[in-house]
Amino acid sequence: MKKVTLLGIALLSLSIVSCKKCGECHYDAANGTEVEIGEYCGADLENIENNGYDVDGTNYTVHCGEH
Amino acid sequence: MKNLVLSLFILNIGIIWSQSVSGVVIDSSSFEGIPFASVYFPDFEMGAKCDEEGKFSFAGSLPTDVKVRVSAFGYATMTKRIEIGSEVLSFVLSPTHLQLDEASVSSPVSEIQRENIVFIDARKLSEISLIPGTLGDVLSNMNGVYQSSTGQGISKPVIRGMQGARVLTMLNGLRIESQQWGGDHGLAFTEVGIGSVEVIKGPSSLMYGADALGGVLYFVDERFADQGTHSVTVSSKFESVTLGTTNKVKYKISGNNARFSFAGLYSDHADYALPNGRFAGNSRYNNVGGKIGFSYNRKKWLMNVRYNFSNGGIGLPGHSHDSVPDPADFQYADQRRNRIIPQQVSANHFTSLENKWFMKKGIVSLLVGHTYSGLEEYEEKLTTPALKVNLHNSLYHLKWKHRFSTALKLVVGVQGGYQVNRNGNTWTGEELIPDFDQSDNGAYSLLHFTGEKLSFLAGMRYDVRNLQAKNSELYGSFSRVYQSVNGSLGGVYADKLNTLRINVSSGFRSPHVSELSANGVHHGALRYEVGDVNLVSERATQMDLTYELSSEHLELIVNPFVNGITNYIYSNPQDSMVEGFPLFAFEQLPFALLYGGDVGVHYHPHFIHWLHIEAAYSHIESDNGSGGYLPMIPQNRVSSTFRVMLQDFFPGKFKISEVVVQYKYHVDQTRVAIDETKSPAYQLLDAGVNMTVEWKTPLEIGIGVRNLFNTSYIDHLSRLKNIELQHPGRNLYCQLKWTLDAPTKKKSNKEL
Repeated sequence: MKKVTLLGIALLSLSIVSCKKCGECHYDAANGTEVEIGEYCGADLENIENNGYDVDGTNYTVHCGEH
Repeated sequence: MKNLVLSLFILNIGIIWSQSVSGVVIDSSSFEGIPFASVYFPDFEMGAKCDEEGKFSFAGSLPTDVKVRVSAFGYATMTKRIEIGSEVLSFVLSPTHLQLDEASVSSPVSEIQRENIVFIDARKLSEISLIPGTLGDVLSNMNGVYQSSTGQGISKPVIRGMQGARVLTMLNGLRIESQQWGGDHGLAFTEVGIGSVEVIKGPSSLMYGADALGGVLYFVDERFADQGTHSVTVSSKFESVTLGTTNKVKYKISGNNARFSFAGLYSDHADYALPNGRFAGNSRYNNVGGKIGFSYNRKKWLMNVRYNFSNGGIGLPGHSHDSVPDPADFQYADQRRNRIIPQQVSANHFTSLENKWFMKKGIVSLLVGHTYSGLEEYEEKLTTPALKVNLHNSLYHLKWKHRFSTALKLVVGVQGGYQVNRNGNTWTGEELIPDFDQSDNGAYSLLHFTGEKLSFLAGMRYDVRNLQAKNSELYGSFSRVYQSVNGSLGGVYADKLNTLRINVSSGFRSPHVSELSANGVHHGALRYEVGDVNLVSERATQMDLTYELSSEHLELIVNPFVNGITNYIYSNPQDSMVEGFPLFAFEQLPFALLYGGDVGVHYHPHFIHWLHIEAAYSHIESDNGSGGYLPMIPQNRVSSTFRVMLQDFFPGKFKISEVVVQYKYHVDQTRVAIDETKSPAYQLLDAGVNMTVEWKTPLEIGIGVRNLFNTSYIDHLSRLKNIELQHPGRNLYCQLKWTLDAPTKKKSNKEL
């Protein structure tokens, strides 16, 4: 009975995996090609999605994650 | 340590007095005790299992006048009212070959099927998932029930051709509001901890809501552990078609008068494999779910507290920026599971508190609860949703059941709820449906007369809905009041072999705010939707006939119906595109008709005791009132199950319990609405073997295959039909389940 109780308690906790959101990001250059800029995670990902990516004074809309 | 652990789960309040009762369950032929028979007080959710000699005992604060249900494998279930005194109880069960009269929880007046005016199809979840699948898959094993799916991760139940807001989902008596108006919004809970499901077809469910024009799906949690025991169950399933795993854990513990249960589930699935060897792009999904239940009773009072949650991340296939996408673009060469967009993220939390007070001639019950459904759709950005909707619903249901006599019963109740829907912050500022507040209140009364062979039921219900929509894009702020009176009248004749039921009932459904004022892209449904604020309420009248033949070896059910609906609301495809998506507008037909029926047979030959054969046919026809057809009507279906019970042939510890083969044939659907495409016929074969290793704690093993012949098919109700994305190909599965149960510490004289 003790084993059952201890096992039950041990199994009561579900491991809920909480991981940072990450994504491979790119922007579309002026000539239409996709320029990969690497993987971003967490707050960096949110920042680049909302604020874009600056290259030589030009701000590009960034797309992250395949779709 | 043991006391500490138990005291965390078992309440001990007030004055303690103890009572115990014992008894025996006996075979009517041999007069010997029936080992491991179950004795259960359903009103108090309290049960006990007999020992090897058929003896049982209960302790604690026990009711004196109570309903008891006694059951054992291979015997007809007995349900009766008894008086608990000082004498030893004795129950006599008769052997039977077919398990008939599955008890019903959702019935307003009687849990015995033969006494119900309305046919309630009640099934244990284990019975309809002999070959495991998603919750939508196993529900579609029930006659007349289908699923409208968006890949494997989203499934909506369809009853008699109706779905969405026309199908009401209940969980332990709690009405579930989870944005079911959306075509891509599936069931809002997982199957973990669910013990049974009951289906009431058509508007015959006055006690639960007059808006359930398609019917009610009533889910019931598994029973608590038998008194004085606790158990742990761990199971794991692997599926080859998604390289997916589903892991579950359950823990139950019951004292004399308090009971506790916990269940949890985690599943993760990659894109599913198509019959052609490629993979359905972004059909991946994962889900975390769980529930907690606590129950406590005294002699004349029962309290249940329940909490259920389900969080899911579901890929939405079919995303494309092309105005004319190529179906091949939605099929990937390799199988992936990492999160991509577009994706639907759902969070559902349901809480309920139920109290029942038992009087000499009746029961008063009060259920209050709260449901929360949060839905986000991520499109173009991984971190900020394009659509975010939060729906809160607080509800109540007060019910009084009174027995004037054994023949005459009255049920009176009031129920209602208050919904608050709010859009959250998105990067698009998009609102598919506006913020709204809605109150629903209803009152009903049912009178049931039970004779020796004839029973009658008459009921009436009044409902009123107040809707306040705020700042909709098309119509600004507006309010509506909808009200209606509905009724149900029916009778049943039942003798030893035959049961004949006839029922006429009405229902009404007011338009949902999405149908009134939608204006935007619904990514999951792959369409741009536009509402009409001038829509009025639907009204339905259904006639339902059921004939059942129940003999020792054969059960036959024939259930035709006809359902006429005035002001039928539907989503009509328009001949234009908006923002790259096809435009659908909510419109209304003056009259629509749905008719058809279900036939089912269960044969258990006397000369082949180890064989069970079940077959069923579902047929649905529609008429849009002008010679055409309604959209999204399921394909007519033949299904059959062969079940070979083999445990008696294996004397050792390793036993093959059963071999199951399921065959389904879906007739082609050629009766389609304008701009709806036809669907060809298809057939599927599933097979499985269930085994047991009888160690000290038995291990159950299930292996098998779904879609054995790797059939390539697209069901008529699949929301991926328009992008020609087939259903999964051949799917090999392996399932392990291990249950350890044991008595709790030796019972003391103290009431736990």
